[in-house]
Amino acid sequence: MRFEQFPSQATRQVGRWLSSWGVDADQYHWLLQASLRMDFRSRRALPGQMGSNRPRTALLKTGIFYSIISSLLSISLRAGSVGTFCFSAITFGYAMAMMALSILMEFGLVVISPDDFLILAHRPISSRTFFAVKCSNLLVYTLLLDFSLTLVPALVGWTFPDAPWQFPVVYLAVAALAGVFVAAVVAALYGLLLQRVNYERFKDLLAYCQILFSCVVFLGYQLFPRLVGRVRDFRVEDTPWLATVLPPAWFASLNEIGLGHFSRLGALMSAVAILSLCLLLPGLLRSVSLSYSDRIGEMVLAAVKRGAKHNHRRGRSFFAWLENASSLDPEERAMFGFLFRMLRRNRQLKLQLYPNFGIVIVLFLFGVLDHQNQGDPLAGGSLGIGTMFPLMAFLFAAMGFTAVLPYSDEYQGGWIFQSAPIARPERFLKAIKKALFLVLFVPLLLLNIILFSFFWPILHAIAMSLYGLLIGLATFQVALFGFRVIPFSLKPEKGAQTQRVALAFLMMIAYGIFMALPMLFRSRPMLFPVSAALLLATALILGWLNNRAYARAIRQLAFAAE
Amino acid sequence: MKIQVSNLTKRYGDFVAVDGISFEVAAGEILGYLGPNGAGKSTTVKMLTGIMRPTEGSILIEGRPLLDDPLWVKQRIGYVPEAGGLYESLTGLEFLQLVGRLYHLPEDLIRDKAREFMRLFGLEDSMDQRLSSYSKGMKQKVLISSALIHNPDIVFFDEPLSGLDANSMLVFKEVIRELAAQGKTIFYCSHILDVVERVCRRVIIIDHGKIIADGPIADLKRTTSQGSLEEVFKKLTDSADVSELAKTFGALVARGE
Repeated sequence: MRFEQFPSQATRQVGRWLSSWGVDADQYHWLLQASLRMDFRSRRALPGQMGSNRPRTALLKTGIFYSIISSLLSISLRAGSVGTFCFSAITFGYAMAMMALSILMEFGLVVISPDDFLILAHRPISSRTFFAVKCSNLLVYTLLLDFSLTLVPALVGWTFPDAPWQFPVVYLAVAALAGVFVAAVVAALYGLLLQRVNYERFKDLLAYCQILFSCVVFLGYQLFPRLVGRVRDFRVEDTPWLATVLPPAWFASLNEIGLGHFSRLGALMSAVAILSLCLLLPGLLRSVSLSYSDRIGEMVLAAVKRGAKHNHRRGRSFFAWLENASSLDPEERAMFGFLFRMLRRNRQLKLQLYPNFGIVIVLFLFGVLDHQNQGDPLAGGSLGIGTMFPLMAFLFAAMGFTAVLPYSDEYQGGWIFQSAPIARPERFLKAIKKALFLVLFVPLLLLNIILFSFFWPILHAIAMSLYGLLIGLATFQVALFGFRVIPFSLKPEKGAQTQRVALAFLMMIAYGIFMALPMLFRSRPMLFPVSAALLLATALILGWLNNRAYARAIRQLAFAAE
Repeated sequence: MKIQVSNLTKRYGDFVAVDGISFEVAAGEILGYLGPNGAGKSTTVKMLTGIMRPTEGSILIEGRPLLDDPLWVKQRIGYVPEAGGLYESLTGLEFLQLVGRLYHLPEDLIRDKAREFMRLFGLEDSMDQRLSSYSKGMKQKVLISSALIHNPDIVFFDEPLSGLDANSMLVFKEVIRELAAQGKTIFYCSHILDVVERVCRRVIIIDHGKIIADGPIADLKRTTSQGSLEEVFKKLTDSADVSELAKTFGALVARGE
C-alpha cells in the first residue's frame, strides 16, 4: 500500500471516536486525508505534474539521520553496560527532546498555518474539528520521527541479558506513547500561547522556546558521557527524586513494567505517564480547541494590519552605511541589503535562525562552569570544551543559516530577481556570504574571544577562535553547493529544517578530527598558521567554485518552469 | 436569504478599518460593494463571512445572528476570496471534492458537480493536475466552483474576475444573473466598475470605512449628475484628476533618461 493511501479506515475510526468530543467525524476524516495527501504525495503520483514532494523527502532524510544518531547512542549505551531502565530512560529522553525540537522548529506550521485558515475559515468547520485535524496531522509527523529515533534502540535493547523476547514491541509501543505525549505538550503550549498573546509575540515566544530546547538538546550531548558513568547500574528504584519528575523516566518505568520488571516507584511513575496522557489529550480538546479558529483568525488577520505600522528607525543609518559599504557592485549591494533587512525584520526567519544561538549559549555556560575542562589546547590542555566551542558554534551557525536561506513566508516576492536583468548572479552568493559573516560569524568570533580570554592568553583565544571561524567558513562553502535558488524564494516546507539540523548533528561526529588537530599545534607551533592558511585557501577555492555553480544554476532557473 | 448589518465596526488599535456601517441586502438582490483601495471592503466581507470577528455591531443572516451560530451561516454562504484560498498540492478535482465533503454533500453529487463545473469552465483536461500547475485564471475558476458547489443561498464575490479571460468574464456575468434569478443573494466587490454597472442594480460605496453612497445605480447617477458609475465613483471618492495624475506619472517614469 502506498503511503498516500493512508489507511482511510483509521482516520474514519478516530473521527468517530472524537465525535463524542464534538468533532465532526466526516470533516475530520476528509481534512486529515487531504493534509496527508498533500504532504506525502510523490511526484510520480501525478505524471508530468509540477510540484514537489519535499516534505516526504525531507522526512525520509531526517529519519535516516536520526536513525544513525540513535544507533550510535544506543550502541554506545549497550557497550557501556547500562541496565534496561537506564537505557530506555536515556534513549526516550533523547528521542523526546529531538521530537520536541523538530516540532517547535517547523512542524508547528502544521498546527498554526495561516494558509489553512484563509482556505477554511469561511467553511462550516468548528474550532474543535479544525484543532483535532491539526493535532492529528502533527501526531503523524511526531510518530514518524519517533519511529526513526527509536527503532534501532528497540533492536539494540533486545540484546540485553535481562531483556525478554517482547522487548522491541514493548519499547516501540511505549516510545509511541512518549511521542503522543510530546505532541500533546507542544499542542497545549501552542494553544495556551494562542489564548494569551498576539501573533507577533507568539512567534517571539516560540523562538525563545526553540532556543531553550536547542540548549536542552545540546546540553544532553554534553551531559551524556558524564551521566552514563554515574547511572550505569541504576534500576528504577535507584532513580533520584529529581529525575522522577522527568517524563523520560516515567516512560522508561512504563517500559520496565511492560518488560515484567515491577517495582513500587516504577508503578508510580508509569501511572504518572498514563495519567498525564489521559488528562492532557481530553483537556486539550476541551479547553484549547473551543476558540482555536477564532484565535488563529485574529492572529493572522490582525498581523497584516499591525505589520504596516512597524517602524524600523533604530540603527537605520548604521545599516544604510553597512549596505553601501558592502560592495560597489549594485547587484551585490541589492542582495546584501535585501538579506540584511529580511534577517532583521522577518520574524519567521529570525524564528528559524535564533535557535543556533541557543547552542552557543549552552557552550558558553559550559565554558564558564566547566573549569577543569578549560585547558588551553595550544598550551598542553586536554581535549575539551575549549576545542569544541569554536567548532560547534560556527558549524551550527553556518548550517542553520544555509537551512533558512531558501525559505520564507514572503517567498512570492522572489520573482523580482528572476525578472530583473541580472548580469552576474554569482554576486548574489557573494552578498549572502558577506551577510552571514557580518550577522553571525563576527558576533560569534567576538563571543569566542571574550569567553576564552578569561581562561587563556588573549593570543591563544584569538587563534582558537580564528581556527573555528575558518572551519565554519569552509563548512559554509561546502553547504552552499546545495544552494541553487534565489534567497527566500521557496515556500517553507515541512521537514527541510530538521533535515539540515540533523545533518549538522551528524557532522559533529566527523568534526572530531578538527577538534583533535590543535593538539598537534602545541608541539609544532608552525602547524597552526599552515593549517589556518590551508583552511582559508580551501574556503576560498570552494567559494570560487560554488560561485560559478550558483551562477550557472540561477541562469538556468528562468527556464526551469518550461 | 436576507443580510442585515447594523453599526458594523472593525478596529485595529487606533486604526478604524470599518466604521459603524449599516445596510440590508434582500434575498435575490445583487449588491455591488465598491470603494477605493484600503476603504474597508475586504474587511467587511471577512466579517460577513464569519472569518473575522467585528469589534462592534451585528450581522443577521435571515434573522439569525452570525456570531451566535456561525456554522449555520457558513453552511449557507459561498465565498470567492480576493487572494489565496487553494491547496495547491491537490488537483482541481480533489480540491472541489474536499470542499463538497466539508459541506457533507453526497459523494455522487460531489463527483458529478465537480466534474461538471470543471467541464463548464473548460478545465476538464486539467482536472487531474495539481493546482500549482494552473494559471491564475484557472485557479480563479476553481475558486468560483468551490464557492458554488454546495448551492449556497448567499454568495460573496471579492474581485471574482481577477485573471479570467474575456470569454469567461462574459459567462460569469450571466452566471451571476442566473444565480440571482434563483433567489440567491449576491454580494459583489470589485474595482471593475463597468462590470458592476452591468451586473448590479444597487451599489454601496465605502470610503475610509464609512458608507458614502447607497442606492440604485440610476439614482446615484441622477443625484450626482454623472453619466456612468465610474464618474459617480470618481466624484464621490474625491479621486484626483486622472489625466493630470497620468502626466505626472509618465514624467516620473521618464526621469533620469
